[in-house]
Amino acid sequence: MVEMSHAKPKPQAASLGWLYQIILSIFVIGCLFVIEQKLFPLLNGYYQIICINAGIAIILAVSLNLINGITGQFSLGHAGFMAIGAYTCAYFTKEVGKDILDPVNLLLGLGVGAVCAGIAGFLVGMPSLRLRGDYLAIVTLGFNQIIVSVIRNLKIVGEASGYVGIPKLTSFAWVFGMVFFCILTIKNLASSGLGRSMRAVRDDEIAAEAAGINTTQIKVMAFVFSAMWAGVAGGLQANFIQYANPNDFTFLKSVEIVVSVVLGGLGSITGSALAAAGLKVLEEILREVPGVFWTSIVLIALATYWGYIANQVQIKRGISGIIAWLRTPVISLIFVFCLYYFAFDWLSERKGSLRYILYSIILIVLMLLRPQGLLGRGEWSLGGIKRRFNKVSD
Amino acid sequence: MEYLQQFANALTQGSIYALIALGYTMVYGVLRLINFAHGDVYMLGAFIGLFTSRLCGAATLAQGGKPVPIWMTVLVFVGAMLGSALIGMLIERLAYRPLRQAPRLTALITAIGLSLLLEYGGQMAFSPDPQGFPTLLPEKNIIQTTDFSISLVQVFIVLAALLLMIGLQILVNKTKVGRAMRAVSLDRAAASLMGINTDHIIAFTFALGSALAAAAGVLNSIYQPSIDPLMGINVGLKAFVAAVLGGIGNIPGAVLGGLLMAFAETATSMVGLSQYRDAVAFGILILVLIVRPAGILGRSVAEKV
Repeated sequence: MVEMSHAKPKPQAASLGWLYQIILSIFVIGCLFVIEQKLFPLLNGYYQIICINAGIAIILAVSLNLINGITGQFSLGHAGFMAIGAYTCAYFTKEVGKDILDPVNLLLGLGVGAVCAGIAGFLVGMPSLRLRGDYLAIVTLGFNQIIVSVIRNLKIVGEASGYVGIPKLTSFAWVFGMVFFCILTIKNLASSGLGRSMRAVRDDEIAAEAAGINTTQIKVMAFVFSAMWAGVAGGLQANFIQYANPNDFTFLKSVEIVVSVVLGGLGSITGSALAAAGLKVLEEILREVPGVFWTSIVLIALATYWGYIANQVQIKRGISGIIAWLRTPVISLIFVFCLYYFAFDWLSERKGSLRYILYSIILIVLMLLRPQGLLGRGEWSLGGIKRRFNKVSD
Repeated sequence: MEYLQQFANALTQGSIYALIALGYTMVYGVLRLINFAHGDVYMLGAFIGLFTSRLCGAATLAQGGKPVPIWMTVLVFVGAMLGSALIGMLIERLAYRPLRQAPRLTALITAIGLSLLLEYGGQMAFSPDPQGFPTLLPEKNIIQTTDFSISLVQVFIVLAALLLMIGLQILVNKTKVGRAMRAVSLDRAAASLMGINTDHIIAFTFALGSALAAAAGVLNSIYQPSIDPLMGINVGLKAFVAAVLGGIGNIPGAVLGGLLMAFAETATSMVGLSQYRDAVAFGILILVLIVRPAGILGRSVAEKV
């Protein structure tokens, strides 16, 4: 423990070398451009939008994971950072840099958005040195609300009716290029010495402090870095839908990001990326009532499975065990069938609220059955999957 | 005179905040948990009030509603408080009790989930549109001058809130249950060693807090007769800020915090910044947490290693 703060971060076997990373980045960017030119236009416009939204959601979830998962703080204000990034980037690309070449304009705009969001992250990170857990959650939430109220009253960006006329600069390659860099930087950060200090703060703040880690500095750094990526995501979104409305960046948006981080696993980068993309797709499925029906069935099946695993830990044998395990799933299954059968019209009238009901059920059921999230702190990698397959074939 | 008018309005709003803040502070006292769903229990209280008053035959002002007899008003209150108390106990039993031993963050995430569930479940059940609340009390002013008026409703709200707070104070300080509650909030493990059934006491605390929130919900609906399923979000957050301001876990602190909160909001409106009303609440919160995290009446406790 003591060594952790003093020893220089040694390159770990798992982390990638510099040269390798640069080559990989060039390769990925090249691939993305090819995909954008050749493959992406083949997709239906509706799927293109889903794709880009999913990419933005991945950046948000992965960056929030740095605060909530890796550093173990709890931020409920990620949408606030996103709003700052979105508005500053939109303002820059529309007013300041409109005469510059488009890609340079967007790049500079994203940079400005990231820096402004980072400054906000620094300001929010400061109180976190005195607060922990639930208090920090409320302060970040409050900060989010303050930003939204300020934007609602700023004449320069269109007040409550929204900011219009933002140029459309974001494209597939931009979004997924940023997704790639976001995952790469956060992965590198998490496996560096700094990342180890962050995890030490998460696991036991007092012990980390005793081991000589400047916990305040670590927490503020996590906030700044995470906020910068949230700002980038906001900028990308504003330049994609060409519109920004303060109502899109409220507490609910923050909760949405938290749901994907919690679902994927606090501390798992691949987990939160997968969950964010999955939730975006799910959101589209839920626009139709049959989608709601099948989604609830799948959810009940998953809950039953985890209920079974949880049952194996605290053993209750025989018939009573089976009843205890199947009680909730069976009741909810009957309920879903009844709802679908008798109240189809009622349901289709009110499906607007269904998305948040689903989010809330995901949160509650996960916390009861699998509080560490789907992947926990584990990561998925090609090597890991290969190893698992080998194990199965043995 | 304008100041006096604003003072009266702030006092009315403050009593409502204080009633909700009491629920936050009591639950935090026994469980060390921010019950995010408390604002939504307030909303549910208002809706139960709506249904009971419709059952009693009251109608909204737009439908030409006349004030109902006083016993009916009392009935509406009792119905809303009992219903909400039941909901509060149910929430505790189903969502929080299984997580008693879990990390605090797990419970907090559950609370956020519950709050979303109640809000959007409410939207599904009651429709997202605002609904008019029936008239229960006569619309007349007790004091009326050219630039100053106090309505009967305002007096009723302040008196009802005061009555409930005095009742709570007696319950917590003079009765056996109250002593058990204080014991649980001081040290749960020791209290259970002394033969207190902590699960019952925690459930009772939830019931009590939820009943107070429901009373606040009905009072607020009489004052501003339009309710919708998302009405609990902002009020709940402000009441939480009020509880922190007064010192969370401290019952007189919650009342003080609620009143101060309303005065601060009214003052912001008076200086012409009414569009920043919501921001002020959180500004206060951040300031309090930085300057004096224990709140005005709270005692700061050193962290044990």
